[in-house]
Amino acid sequence: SADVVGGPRFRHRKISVKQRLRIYKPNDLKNLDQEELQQRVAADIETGVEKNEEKEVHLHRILQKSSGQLSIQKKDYIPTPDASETWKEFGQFYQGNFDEPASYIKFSATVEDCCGSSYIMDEVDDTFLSEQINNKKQPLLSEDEFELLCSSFESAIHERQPFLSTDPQSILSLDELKPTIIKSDSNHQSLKISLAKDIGFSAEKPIVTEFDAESQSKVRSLTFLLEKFGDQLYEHWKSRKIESSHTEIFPKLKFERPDEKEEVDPYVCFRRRDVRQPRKTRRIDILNSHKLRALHEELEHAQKLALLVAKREQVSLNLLEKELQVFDERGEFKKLKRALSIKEDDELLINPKSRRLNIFA
Amino acid sequence: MDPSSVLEQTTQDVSNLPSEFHHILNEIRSLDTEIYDVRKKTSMKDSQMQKYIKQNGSLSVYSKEEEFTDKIRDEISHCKKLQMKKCTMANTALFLVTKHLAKLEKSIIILEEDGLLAPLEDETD
Repeated sequence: SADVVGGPRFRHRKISVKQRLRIYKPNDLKNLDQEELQQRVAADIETGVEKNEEKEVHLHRILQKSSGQLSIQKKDYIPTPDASETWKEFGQFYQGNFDEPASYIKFSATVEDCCGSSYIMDEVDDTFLSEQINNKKQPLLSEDEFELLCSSFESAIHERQPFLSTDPQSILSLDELKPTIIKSDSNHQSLKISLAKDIGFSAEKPIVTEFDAESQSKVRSLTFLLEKFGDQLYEHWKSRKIESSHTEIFPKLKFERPDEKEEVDPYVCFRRRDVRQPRKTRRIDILNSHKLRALHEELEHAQKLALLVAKREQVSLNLLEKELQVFDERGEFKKLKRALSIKEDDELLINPKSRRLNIFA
Repeated sequence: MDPSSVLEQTTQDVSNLPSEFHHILNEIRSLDTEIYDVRKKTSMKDSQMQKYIKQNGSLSVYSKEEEFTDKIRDEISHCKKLQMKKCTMANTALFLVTKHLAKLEKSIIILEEDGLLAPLEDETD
């Protein structure tokens, strides 16, 4: 039966009509050796897993062994992970609903776009916030605001002092850092505020997109928070920053430095070795310049249309809000009129004729 | 940095934008139809109430006034929720394109400062 096991790869051939096939009758089957029957099946069928999965280390070993026709009787097996346990607090951390859209999802935003603040409070921050800042009955600073401030410190220091780890004590003071913080646009916040202005919001309020959590809308503006809590929080953050190794408060992935090859350290990941060579000419790249300008123009057109759509939806929302308000006020008005038996001004309760032009009519 | 690499990068960045716009606008439309249907019902009830006032004055109470008032409130509030969803979607589309545009404009400024970008073509040419 050894030759039946066959080579590592069995090529599927169509069954030829000319080839004679042996036919077993049902009563023959009983007499066939069970083992032989199984091997027959094994020889005729492919391994049954996908080609790339045949490379899985344990499976590969088993396949090779059977192909090598070794008679070692030691049983090989493929280890499988056990059924993972459920996590009790899952429901607490994963909340919310996702409504399925009518058509397939189209999406290209990055993880960072959807994460909000880059700084995430840990236990140390939590204790500091509740004991040092919010020690009175009413919370003064929310967790989101705490994180907003810290991420802006983080990005500002990164910009101003990229080599802070060489001399952590030389870290800038908050006053020196403030201009950078105010200028920086963390999380596109100022872009969102200016878009809100374009749409027609009077207050300095950013627009809300699908990437923003609802809770973010309660966060007060960065300049206000800096004024009120900046000093206190900066001292806390600064001390953490100085004490941390490599002046990174949170664990980071380890990357290869540009122009360096690191082969030994097992923690170095995602090496990028492709280097773009500059063109060997000083001439201006006319063709690509024009293409770039054309693309710029098209994007501008797209932006204009998108702005108009956003405006239209905002106007529709305002209209609905007003309508609800008018409806409520009419109800109140009716009640008052009846209580005081006033007969006049009924026309205020009826939509004027011109409103019949309304799209809903 | 040179025009061709910026062009390549930007093309890649916005490559999915057209289909995202298509998707967002389609979702807005389907919400809009939903709103339209609810609003039709609302305005029918509202005009029935107004017709009664026109004929009998506001001092006499329309038999279904309370029932209608509650329903109309609910319906308009529901529409408002849907409309807010539409606003968020429209804002997302606007934000996406503006973000890409801002990034491109930043690169254009850098290229211009380095003298690597051909000037704008004259309109009169």
